[in-house]
Amino acid sequence: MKKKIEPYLFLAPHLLLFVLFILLPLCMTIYTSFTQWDMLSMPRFNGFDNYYKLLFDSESVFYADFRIAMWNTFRFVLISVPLLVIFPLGIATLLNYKPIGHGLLLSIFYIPGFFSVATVGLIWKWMLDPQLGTINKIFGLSFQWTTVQPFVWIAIIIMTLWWTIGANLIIFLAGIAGIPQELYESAEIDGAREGTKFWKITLPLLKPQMLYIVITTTIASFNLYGQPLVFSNGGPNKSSSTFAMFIQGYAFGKGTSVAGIASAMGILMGLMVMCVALVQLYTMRKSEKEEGK
Amino acid sequence: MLVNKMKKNIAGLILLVLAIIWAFPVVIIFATAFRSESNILIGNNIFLPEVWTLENFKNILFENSQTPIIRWFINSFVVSTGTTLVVLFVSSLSAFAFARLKFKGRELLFWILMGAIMIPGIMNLSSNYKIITTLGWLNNPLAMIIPAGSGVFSIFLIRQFMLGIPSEIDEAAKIDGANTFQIFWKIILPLSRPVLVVVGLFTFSASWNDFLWPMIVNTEMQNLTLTAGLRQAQTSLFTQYGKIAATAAISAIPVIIIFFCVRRHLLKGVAISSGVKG
Repeated sequence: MKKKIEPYLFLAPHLLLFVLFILLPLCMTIYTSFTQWDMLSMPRFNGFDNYYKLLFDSESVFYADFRIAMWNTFRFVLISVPLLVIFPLGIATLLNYKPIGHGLLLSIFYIPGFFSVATVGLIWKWMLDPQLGTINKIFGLSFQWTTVQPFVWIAIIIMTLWWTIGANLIIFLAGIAGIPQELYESAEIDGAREGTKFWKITLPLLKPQMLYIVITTTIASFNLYGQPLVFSNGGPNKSSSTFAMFIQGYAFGKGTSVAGIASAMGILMGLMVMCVALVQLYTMRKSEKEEGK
Repeated sequence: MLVNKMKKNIAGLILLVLAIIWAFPVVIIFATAFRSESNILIGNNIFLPEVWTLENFKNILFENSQTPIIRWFINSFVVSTGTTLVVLFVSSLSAFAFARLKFKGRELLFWILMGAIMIPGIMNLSSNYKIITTLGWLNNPLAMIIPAGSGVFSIFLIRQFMLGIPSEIDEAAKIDGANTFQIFWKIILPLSRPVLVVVGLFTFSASWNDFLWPMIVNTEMQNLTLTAGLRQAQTSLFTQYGKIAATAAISAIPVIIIFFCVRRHLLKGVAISSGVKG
């Protein structure tokens, strides 16, 4: 009898917190997405009004914001995810040759991850300051990094790569470290070059890590919030604003809170993330199965 | 073998160039922190300051009315440590159940929990705020510590690692008369140290660097964590980049120190927990 409930005792603490701080809020968010709510008084049910405003009401500012968020967020995901996968993979491969000081080198790539996003945004805002910043000075440029597109987005992408490369790097590194040396050695005996070794041995054996990294990086990119907020405050003219920024602004920004719309946008965003992640999961799993894994 | 050495050196060279690029912003930030504001405005801001000064640090550390840095630092420390302990405890219990115990619906429950990763945290912000106020936890460190335990990512990593521990060890302990909790506490947990260190580091760092949630659940400025407080202060510091740089330096140093302390365990913990075969 005791044996039967044992597992549940182990699971209980986490599940309690999970229900209280993830499931319950989710249900509340779903509910409030169908209400008008200023976070002070009780939410007032208003059916699909919020969704209508976001998706179909071309007069509404929320409609415009939604489209801006879609455009900005999706574009960021499409550009940043490949970069955030390829760069760490490349660096991990190079590190695997174990040159002198590779431990220190790894730390250098990893340390930016320990700065808070606010700090990162400010560091880069400083470096890219059009008048006083180091970058413009060193290269003799006069790009308006913080106030003109596409410089703002370029800056955001670069700083994101700089900041987050460590996480994926470590995972790839661990994955590569697990590939048996004998495979490479026998390939070398057969006359394989570095490139062949990479494409035919390293890459295929990194499928599990790749799956994990692509999905988690995509989800993280969808949630882009801090960098554009701190670097360019979502500007110029909201051109660097993302879903997360709008949602936060609607619920907690200046003026009357429109938390109902925030919830609705959040639900829509969540559905999009889920679809994309599931498609990725399905496609990558399928290709794994086809290779007879 | 000479060819191998050459490959090593080429890799090393490329990495060196990249590493210099990567370290550059960090160098700049620390250099700016030690540079006087007036010097910054003049604009000869390439690389290191001609005159090193501690005035920025002095200004933000001791002008305590607007920026009670010491208080914030302590808050951060309490919150981040508390969060790390809660997450490690709760997640390892759960991971152990998923990795080692048999029960109905084990796989299903696990994947449902993993699905939670897809939920954008931001969309539940207002709901979580409501829950916190209902619990009466506004301006209470518990609001920042307890909810963090609901995370599922740590469970994933720890479970992966535990799956790699041979079950013969459990069997042997059972024969010696150990009950389940003892197996967990005395055997599996100590063996899981590498992944616990990794998860601990990630959790501490994430908690330390979070500014949005602390700003939402604390109405009193005194109760903010370091990162949240500095974020708030940064908006009023405008272009005083010297002070901003100093705040960045101060808030980054603790986590960097911890990182260097636990570096050895990092790769080991991630290796086994990321599904490496062999």
